[in-house]
Amino acid sequence: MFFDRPEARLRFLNNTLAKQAERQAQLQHSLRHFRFLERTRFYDWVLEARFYSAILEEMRALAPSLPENRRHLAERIQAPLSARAFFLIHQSRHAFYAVGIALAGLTLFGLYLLVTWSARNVNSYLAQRYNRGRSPIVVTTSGPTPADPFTATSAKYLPGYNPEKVWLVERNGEFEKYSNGCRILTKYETDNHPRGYYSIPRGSDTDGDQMRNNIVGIIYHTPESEMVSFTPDNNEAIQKRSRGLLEYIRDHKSYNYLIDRYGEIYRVVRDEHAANHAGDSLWADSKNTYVLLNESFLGVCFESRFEGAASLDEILTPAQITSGRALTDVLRTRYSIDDANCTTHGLVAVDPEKMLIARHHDWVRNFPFEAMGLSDKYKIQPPNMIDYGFTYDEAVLTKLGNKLWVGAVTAEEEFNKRAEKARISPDALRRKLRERYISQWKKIRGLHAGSGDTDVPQLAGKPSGGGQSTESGNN
Amino acid sequence: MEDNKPMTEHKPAASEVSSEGSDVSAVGLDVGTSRIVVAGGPNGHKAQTQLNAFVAVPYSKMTEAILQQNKMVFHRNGKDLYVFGNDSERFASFFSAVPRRPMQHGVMNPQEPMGQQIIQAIIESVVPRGRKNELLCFSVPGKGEGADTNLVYHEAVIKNFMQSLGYEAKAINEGLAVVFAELQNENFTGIGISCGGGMCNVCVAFLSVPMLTFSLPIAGDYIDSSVSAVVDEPVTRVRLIKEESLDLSRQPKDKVTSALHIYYEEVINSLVGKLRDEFENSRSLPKLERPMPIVVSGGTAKPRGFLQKFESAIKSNGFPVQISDVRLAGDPLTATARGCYIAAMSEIR
Repeated sequence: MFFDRPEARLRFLNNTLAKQAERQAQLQHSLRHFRFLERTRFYDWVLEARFYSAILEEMRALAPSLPENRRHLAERIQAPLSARAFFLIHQSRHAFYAVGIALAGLTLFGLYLLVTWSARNVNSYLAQRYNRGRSPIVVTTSGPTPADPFTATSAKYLPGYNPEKVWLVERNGEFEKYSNGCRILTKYETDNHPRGYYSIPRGSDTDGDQMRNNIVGIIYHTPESEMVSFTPDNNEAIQKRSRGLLEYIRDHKSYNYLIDRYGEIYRVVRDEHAANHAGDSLWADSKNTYVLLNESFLGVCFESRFEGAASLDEILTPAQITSGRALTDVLRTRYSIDDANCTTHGLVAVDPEKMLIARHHDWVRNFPFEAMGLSDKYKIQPPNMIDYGFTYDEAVLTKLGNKLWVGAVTAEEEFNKRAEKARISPDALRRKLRERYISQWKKIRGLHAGSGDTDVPQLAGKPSGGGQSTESGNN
Repeated sequence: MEDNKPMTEHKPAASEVSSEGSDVSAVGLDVGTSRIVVAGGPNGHKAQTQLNAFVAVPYSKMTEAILQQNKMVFHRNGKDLYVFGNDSERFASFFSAVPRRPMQHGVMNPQEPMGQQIIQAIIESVVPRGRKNELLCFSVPGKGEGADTNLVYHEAVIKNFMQSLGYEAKAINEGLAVVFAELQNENFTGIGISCGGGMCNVCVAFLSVPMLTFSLPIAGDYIDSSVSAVVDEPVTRVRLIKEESLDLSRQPKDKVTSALHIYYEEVINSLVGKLRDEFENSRSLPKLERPMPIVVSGGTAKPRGFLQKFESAIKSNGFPVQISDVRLAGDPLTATARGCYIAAMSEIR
């Protein structure tokens, strides 16, 4: 007999039953969400097996206190195989726990690897998918050189180049003639409102305190109006469209100058008055930042269509290039305009609401800076991007045919570095700078309240040959 | 008590009732209506019994001297002397007095103002002071007619007293104690019945777990008083006849034994009937695959022929469960105390 004393047997029974009751409670708790299992044979089988297991455990625990000749009796108990299995599992549960933890660790590690691998694949897939749908961004390196040998050779920009002294030769009721051969027709000349703006020291967070009205720069435009082929048999149509365009520009006071397709230069809005050409715009030279460039920059418009043109030759005629160069020299000489402030509309126009560049995209590429005796502004980082964080998105890229000038690409990177250095996210820094831009914008706008000077008016869709567009199309 | 200095004839040493030579020890105590039995020592076989009764006599120096000369156990309380325990019977027979009972129907006798003190004195006379947190299990009756409300009080009084003696006291059902004492080979599965003086206690246990317990407030005292009343004989004499010469397997030879037969049968039939009812009405009993034994203990079960009568009562009208055998406890008078001892020992790790 295993137990020679009744209290030992009673203790064994009580301990076993207590253990079984505890395990039953544990099992019920574990299966609390699967109550239906308690009505199955599986549940009974598990309970029975655990009961036998508890018996074996208790006997194993009691064995050391028994005389040696009775210790082996526990092994002779005829317990079901399932009970012995449970007992063995229970005895070696610590090993099971260790294996379980190791397996859990391995599983987690495997899951981690799987997730990272999947993420990589998904990224790769998405990247491929996007690349299929959209052309990669092409970085345009510089402004083109005109194919025409004459304009090409004469327009070569040299570092440190300043236009030679140009003077007024003759002025009458129809034109002004300058010493470099430049002739400016004044037939369509009109007034708008006198210039007035605040110069803002570059990099400062002030709104500017010194009020100025001098001309500091030139912005080149295209009106994006409908063009007819530049052939002799279209002379009449060409001239008719030019006249229509001039009248429209005059009525809307859109630009200071227009260069028609034959190279004729027309002054429309007087130089000392601001034309409505630049709208929301921002540029800077080494000293100052300029906001709302209508007030400080002259607007020079080439009668042409930028949109859809593959090369400069499709946009400008050689006569326009020659005249453009002559007019640029006249204006730079007359107003001491720094090369740094001769740029294009596409490079200065911004959308402050979305903080995006190229709100208008005339001349975002292909402008012949060198032919105009100017340095290539496509190579420099646009001040609106580097200083104020204006950027581009998918829509802008689509609008620009996925082509960006090199300065824009490097400016974006530079701005992000700046934000990182300031321990602030680029978006947060951008929001802060937006507030600065709006404040500066408001201060200048305050000078011309009621002047009617808004953004460049939308001209696209005007009757062909009549009021052509001075806008860059996708406004 | 003004002078409650107990004078005991025999005060057992702790080693006499505790497990000798062992670091751990326990005590089993049967607090019965007619007897207080303590079990201890190896196997719990060392038991001591004291009658749970006393006789009060007016105090006089001569009476006190006689008691001391005869080494009787007594209390002095003001103008009275109380002789208690086994000596109370002898003393009562000297003076033709009827011993009084501190307990009635298994619990404290509310009509006996000296009851608690006498019980404490009797217990102190047989139970040594406990070592620190030494475990003692004492018997309590099961719930039943007339015992329900007094049970809590009775148990608390005994428990407090045992704790004051230094024990960690735990109550155990009297019937279950019988199971523990007698049914170890059946893995403590069966029916234990203790037929004592004040009541019969029954416990149906399954693997040591009490599934059904109850008590019946008729037992030896009821038989004695009933027979005494109908045959007009003193209760003491009736008890003497019952304990010394009653044979329930034979035909009664006189009116006392005849009455004893009648009231024994009534007690047995009531007990079996109640047991049958409880089985039939109980919903908590597990289904047993094997027949279970019945073991009967207690002084009332001692007369010859009791077991046969009980067995025939079980078999007469059928029984809800299968019974393997009906047996009498090895030592009916100490079975409950031994069961308590086993329960106490089983709690010791």
